[in-house]
Amino acid sequence: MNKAARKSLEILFATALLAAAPSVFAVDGVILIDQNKALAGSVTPGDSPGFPVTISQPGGYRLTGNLTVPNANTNGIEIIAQNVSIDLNGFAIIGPVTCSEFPSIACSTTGTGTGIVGLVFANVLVRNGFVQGMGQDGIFMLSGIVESVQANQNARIGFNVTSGIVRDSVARANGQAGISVAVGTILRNVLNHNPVGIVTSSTTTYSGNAMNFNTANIAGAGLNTGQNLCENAVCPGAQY
Amino acid sequence: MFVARAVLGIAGFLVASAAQALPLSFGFTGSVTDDPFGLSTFGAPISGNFTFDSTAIDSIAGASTGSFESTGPAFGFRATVDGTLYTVLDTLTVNTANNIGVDQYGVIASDGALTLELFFEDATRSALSSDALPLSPPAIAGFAFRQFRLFGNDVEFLGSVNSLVCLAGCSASSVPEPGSLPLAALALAAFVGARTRGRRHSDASPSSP
Repeated sequence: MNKAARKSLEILFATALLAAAPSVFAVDGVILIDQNKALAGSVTPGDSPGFPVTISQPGGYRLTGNLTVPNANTNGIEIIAQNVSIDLNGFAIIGPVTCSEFPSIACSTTGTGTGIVGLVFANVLVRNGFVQGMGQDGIFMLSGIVESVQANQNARIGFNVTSGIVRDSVARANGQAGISVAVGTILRNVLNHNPVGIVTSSTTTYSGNAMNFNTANIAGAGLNTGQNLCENAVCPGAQY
Repeated sequence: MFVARAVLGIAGFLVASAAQALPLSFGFTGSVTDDPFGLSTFGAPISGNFTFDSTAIDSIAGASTGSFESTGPAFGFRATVDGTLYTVLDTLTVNTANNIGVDQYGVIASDGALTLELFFEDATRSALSSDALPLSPPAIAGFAFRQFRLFGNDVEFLGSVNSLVCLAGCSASSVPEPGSLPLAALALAAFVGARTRGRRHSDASPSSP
């Protein structure tokens, strides 16, 4: 083997090693994320140091600490892969925005930053934690499920899902609305002190939600499939 | 010609000095606060040290967060938890966040099988004055939240940190900011140029009787 060929092989080998190098530790296949890992980068291939954390590979991800974004224009986590589940594990994604509830909802600032952004149309699950103080939405996803998450004081919408389910979650004091689902189901949530509790469309069903102290509880032409509470009374228009 | 060569040489020396890795070592102590795998006991001692490159460059463009990666055999993180040593070598990142609602100082080393971390947070936003790499140990009293974290295969510890001290390298003078090097070269050029012009002017002047 001549010198040039050997050099090429060495470079190839080194490149392969770098590509295979594990960037973060995984327990049982779950990738752990905290503020240190977010700032250091390489949570998945292509993830630059700092925010947002970019998730480019399918799999399970779990927070092991709060994530604090630097300003109202920065996303916390961006999902660009299919088949991703994020367990917030009781921790929070925190932005700088605060929203007062009285006398009406008013947020300290707005921006373009969202806590978790799902940019693919398939199989994303986010559960079990908190998203607060983001410049735009708490969670925005094109397609997926949000469950057991609390979204508080985000400048636009707590949970903004194009196609999917938001269930067993709480949205309070968000700047525009608590939950918006264009195609899907809004199930068993608590919505308080938002300008609009839930934003629906003709391709949305909702049931079992408790809505109080919102300026308006329900907007849009969604199908009320029952057991929704609006200001201590059964919401009108239930269909079974 | 001589002046240009001298300036280039000095500037080159400055750049080379800045590019040379300068290891700094901090040590810490603490105690176990959480042990999900039952390998130790609450309150068991933790001690350790980490070595980083004081010339590491901030890889985050923003002014409020910093991430400074050190790579090479001189750098790494060692922690002893209840008598057992855990080590990650060849890579280490120091993170800073200034005034993002909180101040933060973090250290992380991970080799894929083991992750060792320190994470400090100050809700009063007074612990750090910028996102620059601290070249001496930040005063830990300024951080109300101070956590040690270890994640590995069938091992996990969380701990509190009660001391952070410099072990080696802190007497070294601070490294000039990369942006100051061209300024130093310009200043040297101006100084040497002025001296040369002055000497020529002096040589051309008629000597007094």
